[in-house]
Amino acid sequence: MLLEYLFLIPIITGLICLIPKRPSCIGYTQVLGTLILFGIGLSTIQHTLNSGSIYFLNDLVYIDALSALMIFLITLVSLLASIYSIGYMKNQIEEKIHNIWKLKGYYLLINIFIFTMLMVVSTNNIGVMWIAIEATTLVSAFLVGYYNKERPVEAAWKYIILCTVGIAFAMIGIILAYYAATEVGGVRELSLHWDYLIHIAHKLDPTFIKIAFVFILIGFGTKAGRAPMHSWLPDAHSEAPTPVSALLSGVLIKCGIYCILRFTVLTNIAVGKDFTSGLLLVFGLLSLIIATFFILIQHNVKRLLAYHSLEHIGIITCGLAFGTPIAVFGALIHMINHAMVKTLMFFTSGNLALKYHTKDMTHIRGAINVMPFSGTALLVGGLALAGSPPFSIFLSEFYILRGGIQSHHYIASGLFLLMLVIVFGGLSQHLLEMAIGPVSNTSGEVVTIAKGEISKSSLLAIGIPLILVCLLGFYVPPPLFNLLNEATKIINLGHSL
Amino acid sequence: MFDLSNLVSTVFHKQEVYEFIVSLIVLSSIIMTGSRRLETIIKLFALQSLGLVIVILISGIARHSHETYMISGITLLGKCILIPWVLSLVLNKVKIRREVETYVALPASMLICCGVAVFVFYITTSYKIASEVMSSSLLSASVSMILIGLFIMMTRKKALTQILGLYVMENGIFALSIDTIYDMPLVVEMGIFLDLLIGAMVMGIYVYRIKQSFDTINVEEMQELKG
Repeated sequence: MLLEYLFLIPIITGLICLIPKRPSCIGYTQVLGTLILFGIGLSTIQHTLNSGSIYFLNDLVYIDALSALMIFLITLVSLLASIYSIGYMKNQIEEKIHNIWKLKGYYLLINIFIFTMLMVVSTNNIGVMWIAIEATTLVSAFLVGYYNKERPVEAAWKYIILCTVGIAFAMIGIILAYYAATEVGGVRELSLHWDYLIHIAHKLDPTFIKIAFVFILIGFGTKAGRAPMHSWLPDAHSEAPTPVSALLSGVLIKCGIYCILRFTVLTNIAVGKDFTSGLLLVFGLLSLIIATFFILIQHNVKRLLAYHSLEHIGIITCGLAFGTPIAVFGALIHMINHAMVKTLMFFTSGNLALKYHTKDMTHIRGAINVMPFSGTALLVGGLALAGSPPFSIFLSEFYILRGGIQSHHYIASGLFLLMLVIVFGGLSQHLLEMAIGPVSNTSGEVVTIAKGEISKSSLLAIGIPLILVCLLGFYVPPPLFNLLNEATKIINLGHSL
Repeated sequence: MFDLSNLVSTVFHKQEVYEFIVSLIVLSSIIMTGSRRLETIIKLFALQSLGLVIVILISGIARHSHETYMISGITLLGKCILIPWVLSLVLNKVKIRREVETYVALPASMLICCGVAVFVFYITTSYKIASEVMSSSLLSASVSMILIGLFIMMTRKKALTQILGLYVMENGIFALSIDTIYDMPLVVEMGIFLDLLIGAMVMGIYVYRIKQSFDTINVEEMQELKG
């Protein structure tokens, strides 16, 4: 069993990254570490599929299909972010934005960040999960404020304060759930464990669980960047270094969703589905609507992508709210698709921002000519992100919509579809203008920018998700399909086989 | 043999001391909303945490729980000593002692918070969450502390005061957990303790960075990111 290495490897990699003197050497160490981590993640999935849930470390670690899915996402996006970091950080050192010690600190922090996220998704104890989520905030606050200038410091401050207050609310929810469990005679030592709580869920007092769920939804919803607690999200995503933005958007906000998901399962058994479904639907649609509005008026490309994450959080929430198996399946596969597409888009837009020395979309024009590979990836990824067929996001959105109609949420489905259409238009316009169109500066003169890509490593980091985005639209590999099916069962029934 | 719990139950038979400490805890958070000097607020926070430690100890002695002694020890170390110390360090670094402007005038905010506390005490007496050991006044105290903490965070402009508001809220949640579930498992309590401590350091570092970047720790000056 390789499971212990899942937690050891990020720590070891982080420490080893402190040793080398050459930046590229540190980068390669990091890639090697995350590659091994990804391998272990895959073997964990294999193990959960073959022989059921894993208990480990005195039952403190509990990995079922849903956790395995999250581990897959975290390890994959970490690997991509590490590959991209090589070129990105090399460029930053060449431009004298930081020195070797800051670089080492960056790699150490990013490894601790990965470690805490893995802890969130694989622990059995809700209390430990809360601690891990709070730890992700504290670690990533330094990553968000990495550049230490006015804007990043402001973003990091907002991020840390909002998320800490939000998570404090989640603590109230956890306390109430624990109270409800001990009240009906639950064993005190076990009453914070997911598997035990699910086991006694039908006995729990519905009133307490309802109040607890509301607190949890607000608390972890803040971490998931769900409207109306989303205001940290565009700031943090736009000011962080690009690989960190990809990690934040690709997996961190999904860790928040994961926590809510676990609680939704519990609440569904204790109270019934209508309660959670209604609340989730309201928050999901609200996120969609707010995101749509801001996407249309956005100028900063990284903020555009951040608001787009908000939209996709709304989509996933709607999928969970509709609650039919196909909608839940769609929501889960959407988590993977969104992580891939968003990683791809952050990397390409990061390349463009480095090339054009601006994040303002009105000044980024003709990307296809200037950077043939990144420009093409921007175009393809933009279409995928907007949800056009034949890419994977279209498929998952279609599943969710179908689930919505199946469960007779006609008005919600209609609103959902309307928002998707508006976003499709707004986003394609923004991204098409960036990809094609005359290169000009502020005063309208045509200027030439030297052709060429930023770095080879970024090409690889863009290539892998690009292939996955195209592939997942047609073909979901059988192990992944099984995993998604198992996870859907966990959400709908409360337990796996 | 000397039986501690017997002694406690005789001394606190009418729970007068207990009630007195709980009311001190609420009072300290109300005074916080009315004080201008940041140092005073930090000291009040330490005092309030000390009150909470005594409350946990009393409940621990009454229930013969050894874990509770550990938890009260950790809390004493963290909330009464380390966190105030970290925050005072930051205070000395940024050299800002007083909070001149607030969104709500200080006497008014004290009055509002008194009103909030009275309202909460009035409401929560009708909801009796069963608590065999102690009276339900701690529940009312915890809810009012959470609300007062939020109030401090919303009405103050200095970044440091916002951190303190956050910790008042955290103390409120802690009091809620003592009242309803007595204590969490030790692993969880230790983790929360670590998170709070690291949180104080991280936020302290950011207060310092804000001071360096913006030359003030007024959060309303930070308006670069919009839309």
